[in-house]
Amino acid sequence: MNMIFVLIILAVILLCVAIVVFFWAVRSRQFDDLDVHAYNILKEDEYEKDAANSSGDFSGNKE
Amino acid sequence: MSKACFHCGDSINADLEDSVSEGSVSENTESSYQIEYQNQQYPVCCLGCKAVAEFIISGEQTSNYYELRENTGDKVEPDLLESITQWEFYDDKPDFWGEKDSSSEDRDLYLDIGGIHCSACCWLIRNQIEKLAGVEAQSIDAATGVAVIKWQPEKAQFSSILETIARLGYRPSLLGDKINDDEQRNSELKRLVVAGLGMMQVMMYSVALYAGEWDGMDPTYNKFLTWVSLFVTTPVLFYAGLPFIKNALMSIKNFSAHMDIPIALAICSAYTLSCINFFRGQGSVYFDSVVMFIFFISIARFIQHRLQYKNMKTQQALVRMLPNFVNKVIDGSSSNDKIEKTSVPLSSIHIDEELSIATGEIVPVDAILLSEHAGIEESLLTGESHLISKTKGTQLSAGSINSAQAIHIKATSTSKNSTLSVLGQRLATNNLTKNVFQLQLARFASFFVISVLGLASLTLLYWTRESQFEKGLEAALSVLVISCPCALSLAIPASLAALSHSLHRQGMHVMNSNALIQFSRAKTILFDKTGTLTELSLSNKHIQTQAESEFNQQQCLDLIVALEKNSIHPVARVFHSFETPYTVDNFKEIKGQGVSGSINDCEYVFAQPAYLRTLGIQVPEFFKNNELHLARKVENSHQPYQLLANINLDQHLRPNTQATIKALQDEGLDIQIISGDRDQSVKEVSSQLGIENYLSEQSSQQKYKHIEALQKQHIVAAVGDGINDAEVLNKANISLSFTNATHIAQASADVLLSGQSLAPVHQLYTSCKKLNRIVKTNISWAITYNIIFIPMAALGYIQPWMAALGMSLSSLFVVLNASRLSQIQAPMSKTHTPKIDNTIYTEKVT
Repeated sequence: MNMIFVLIILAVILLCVAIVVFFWAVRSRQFDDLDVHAYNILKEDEYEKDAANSSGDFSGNKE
Repeated sequence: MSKACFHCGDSINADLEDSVSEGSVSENTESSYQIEYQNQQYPVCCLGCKAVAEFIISGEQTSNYYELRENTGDKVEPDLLESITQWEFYDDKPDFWGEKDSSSEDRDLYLDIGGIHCSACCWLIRNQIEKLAGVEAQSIDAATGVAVIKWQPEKAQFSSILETIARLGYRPSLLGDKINDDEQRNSELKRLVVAGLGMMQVMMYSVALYAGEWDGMDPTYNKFLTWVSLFVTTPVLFYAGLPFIKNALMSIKNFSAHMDIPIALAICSAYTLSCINFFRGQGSVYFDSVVMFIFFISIARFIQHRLQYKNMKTQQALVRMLPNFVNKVIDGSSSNDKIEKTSVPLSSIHIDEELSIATGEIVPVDAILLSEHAGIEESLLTGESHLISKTKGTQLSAGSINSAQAIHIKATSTSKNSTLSVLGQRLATNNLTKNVFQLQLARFASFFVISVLGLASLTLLYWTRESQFEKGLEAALSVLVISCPCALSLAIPASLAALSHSLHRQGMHVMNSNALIQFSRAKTILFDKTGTLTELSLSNKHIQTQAESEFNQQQCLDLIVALEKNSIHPVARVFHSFETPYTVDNFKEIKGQGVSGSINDCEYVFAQPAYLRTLGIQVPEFFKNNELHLARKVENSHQPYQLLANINLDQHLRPNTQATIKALQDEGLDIQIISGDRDQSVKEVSSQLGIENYLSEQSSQQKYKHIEALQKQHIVAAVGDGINDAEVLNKANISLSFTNATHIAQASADVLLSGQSLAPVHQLYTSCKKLNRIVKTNISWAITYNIIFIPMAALGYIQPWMAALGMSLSSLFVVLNASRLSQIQAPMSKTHTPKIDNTIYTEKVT
């Protein structure tokens, strides 16, 4: 039954970890724009490729 | 069959074009624009839309915009495309580049983007600007149109960001002040999550503790669990509960009774009491009640603040109406036609600087006229849409529209303190007084707070006199918790949030949700006529060429389009979507009657019969004034002019107007038309719709007085779209406008309806009736609950944890009841989605 001390302390530690992770998520702006990401899944996959060599079709004023 | 534009969804007058192509000149069919998308040709309405659609489709990642969007885009005026390059002005002026980051050179740019309809628009903008190196869109809000863009000046060019947005067909403008509440929202979110997670933990321990009280528990475990509860509750109280404590302290300082006082008192005293009881080893602890309470109150606050943020959009519309750039005259000698000018931002204009205003542009500042003559329309300020001629040296007010030839002016004010800005401030103060309802609520709340505090202290006093101080503390705590104004304060905001959300899905955008409560109590609805009940349009049956003239329909149309191109009269707008091969010299606008000009050295007039008769043209008597005639000046003839064609532009009602008006009248509402138009045409429309009360030839002020008088008797709703309706819309208890209405009308309206149909007005009315029913049940529930449970708590029958649970359940009831409003179905929501989207979508799916 003494296991309960370990387990509860573990639960509290996990709680702290969860809160820290959530704070990090908020700080890294994951909650700033909740609408747009629903559309990203429908997008073609080349996004990363394109972003990497940064050669979109509208590259007008890029430097 | 009329087709819809692929980009903006405007109807393209297919009838006209078909009939013209059947006629003699078949090569003219190419004047209608086509766009190729997924190997199919789709029609677009104008050059602007074509350019934007091509740009979007050619982008690899943006080409599926047309499948993703929920609403059609804005119509793109060709002048928007011309103005794209103007943003280069800012490239060497870092003051405008947005807020500097504290640590790096990065800038946070705040933009107000006009023309955003749905999240697909945000996605499109984000996608395109993030292709620029060093540019990152941090957030683009579909509801408010506010975008926050982080960019690095060393990598990107300022103008390229704005140009990209403008090229997509949106209208960006710089927001001077930061009106973004991301930080506030984020900190609220964090507090909410801390409170929620903490609550789950503490509740878990309490269940064990309560079970232990029944079945017996080893004191070591008991003590350990209480220790852990204390450990979790402390940060919840001092982090998540901090805003309540702060607010309470503030309002005590100001001697006002804020809702937060009993909340702060309850959580702090429960926490202190629990700590004391715990350390001295007897009495109960209430950590579970504390965290539960904080969590539920935080949710309520979060919902409320989200709602308030959405309403901020209204304050920005005046900014959108003024041009971003004006043409400043550099060469001071205003002598002749050769004037050197340069495009500069409006905000940089100082007093005594000279500006050149093209035809159809708004005079952006108060100014003195330097040109010899000018034709000005002051409809924005006075409501009269007549052309007023001004001569050199007279004063022009900001907001007047230059309707005739290009003029040259000298500024007498800056854009910040011009007539138009003053008008804007007046609208803003009207908005403030409108929320009387909220003030009443706040007053009621403070009364409620004081009585709760009184009851709690009475309870404590009563039990102390019975010499049961501890029991008294517990009972007083229960009173504070159970009477939490939560249910009461949630009753209205939750219902409004639910309704706004469901209305949004049906194409009705709620700008000021407080007004919705008023709609079902309204007795009168005022309708504007032109643009609201009726629209002007042109179809092929209405072009009639004269038998003896050598011009065919298409040529006549081309001539008319060329003539009307420079006019901004409502009639002229009908023709603006057409292309013409001709250019006009010596353009003149004839005060509300027509236009004239010379094309290929030949003079043409396009005007009402009454005006043509004054020129000595014999127009048969049976032509009414809404039948406009095109005539050409001829020499060596017995008549000075030769008639070429006549066009009948008739005003027709918006779709579903008759049914909607009938339905509203059946609800027992008094429908009135109040219009600035001529008596005869207003009479015609009102008899057609069965409306008895109508007022015609009303100026903006007269309209305002009328509504003011009506409001002394009862609640008044208003529907309008024009600049001259703005004050009426503002004054009305609830006002409706259309998403394609003038900006200022949109800014003043509480609800914006998208689409052409008038049917949503009735839909909204029935929804608001339902809203009132639900608000009533919610409030009566909250009151009944308090009447039953507060005495029970005072008498000590309710433990604090039961009180917290009861409070939560009652809030839950209120929220669930309100959420019934979000299930209202739109009987005709499909009509708003353009057909083209569905077909493409189903193709993809199958």
